[in-house]
Amino acid sequence: MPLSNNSGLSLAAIKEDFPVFREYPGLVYLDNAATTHKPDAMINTLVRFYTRENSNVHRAVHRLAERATVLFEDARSTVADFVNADPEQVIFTKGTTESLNLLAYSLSLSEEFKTFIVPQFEHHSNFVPWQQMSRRFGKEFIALDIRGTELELDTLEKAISLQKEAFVLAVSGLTNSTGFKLPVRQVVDMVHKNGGIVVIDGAQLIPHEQFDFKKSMVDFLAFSAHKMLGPTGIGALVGKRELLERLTPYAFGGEMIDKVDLCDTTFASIPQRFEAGTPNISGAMGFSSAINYLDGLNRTAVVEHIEKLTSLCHEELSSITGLRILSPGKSHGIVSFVHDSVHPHDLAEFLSQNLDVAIRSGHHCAQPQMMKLGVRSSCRASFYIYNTSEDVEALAKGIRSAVRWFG
Amino acid sequence: MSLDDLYTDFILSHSSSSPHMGTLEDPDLKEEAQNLSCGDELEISMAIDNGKISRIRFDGHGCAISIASASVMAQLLEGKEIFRAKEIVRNFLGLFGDNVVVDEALLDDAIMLKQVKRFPMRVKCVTLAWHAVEGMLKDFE
Repeated sequence: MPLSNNSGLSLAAIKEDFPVFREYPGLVYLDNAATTHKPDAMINTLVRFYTRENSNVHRAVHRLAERATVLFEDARSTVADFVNADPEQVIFTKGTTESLNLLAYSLSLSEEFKTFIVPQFEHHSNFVPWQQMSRRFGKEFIALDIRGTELELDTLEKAISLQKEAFVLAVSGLTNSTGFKLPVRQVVDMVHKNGGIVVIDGAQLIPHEQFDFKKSMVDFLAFSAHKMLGPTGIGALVGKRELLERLTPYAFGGEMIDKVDLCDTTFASIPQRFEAGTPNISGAMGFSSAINYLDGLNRTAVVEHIEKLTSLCHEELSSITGLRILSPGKSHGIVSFVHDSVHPHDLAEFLSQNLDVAIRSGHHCAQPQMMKLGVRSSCRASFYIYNTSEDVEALAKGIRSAVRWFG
Repeated sequence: MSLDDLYTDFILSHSSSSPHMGTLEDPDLKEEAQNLSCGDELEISMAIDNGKISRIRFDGHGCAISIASASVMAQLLEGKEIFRAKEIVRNFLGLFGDNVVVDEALLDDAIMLKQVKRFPMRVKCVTLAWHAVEGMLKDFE
């Protein structure tokens, strides 16, 4: 199946849209879970904004300000459409981390929620905010047990059935360290039945899956532009309207107020209430441009393409002696692994210096998950739309030579 | 820059086996060194006699660079007077700073780790054990 809707655009043509591969034709980029590369169209949007459209938004009435404001709000609509939400439900943030911090803080201020539950496989950005806020505000914090790299529904049910009052489950839709995909619908049903709400860390999930926020019944969703072809420094928090309206703002400043007098302030309605100060305007344009690029592709074919690369990677790596795959058998877009005799940093350095293969090594900001697996760090290969089966083969070949070299 | 510039034979031989790898049973000083970016951990233990580091051992998990560097450090510091050890550590760490004048003669074999500076992402690895010792000795005059 062609990856593009535009008369069967080939994989090679997709790669041509990314200037980084023109700069470094030999680059095998397998660190997409950290950040993806950017297409010309997205980069040109940023240049056009600063060249022809630059102005602050929501303030002045002059022509440029009007243009920038319209484009900024159009970008919000594009992001909203991408996950099937209304524009008012989309708050622009610096990225997933800020979205989750905003939520952890604002939900801590609510008397309603007494417990924060977070699985042990979470990225630190969806673990530490809940842990720290629960300490600061006297909430109960539960680091939910996992089996290897997976959250078992029985474990979840047991933990939440003990909850007597409203609680928050914050969980990744797709884990960054191993690529475990959460059965979102089942989890949401279970949590709602037990009187809780669900926050989905979508940093890895949203770049890969066509996600319908309204249909999913998820309460909050956080994701970042830079992991889906957009610029760094911009992301979104999407929330159910009635919940967003009940939340206390997290940061104060310009544009988020309704009326300020000497003793008190009333706040603007959503989403502005959560967007204090001048927002990342060019970032929002870039975010929207990246989404338009993805929308131009056949998303079903893209998902299939990445799943094919992931299973090829499982297959290739499992034939290497001494290599242990940490990801679950059916991981999505991500394969984590360790080798008996070569440290992850040394392996990654070898792959990069010798073969221009870029993978991640380290603890992937998920130390509790690494502890659970009994490793301190691992290697991680992660795929996106421009990767090919040759990339997977280059990785496997590279690992074999690294093992020989260090051996 | 090639891989051989980073993983020299010197580094590879120190990382594959070191007479100083291990722990002391009853150390006078003990410190955990952690590389926060990758989760690596080294434990350094020292015995002090008459103002000298009489024995020094390291143990733990690390990449070839951090293990080799810990090995070279232990070899160099064992038997040295504390004030001298501190001087050596300060000069070694100076290799990876900007505009620091370093007395390379003090560093003996450890000077062979200098080229890691050209790999900025690995400076944390090469200095891991040394930073730990810097902390362990800071209260000694």
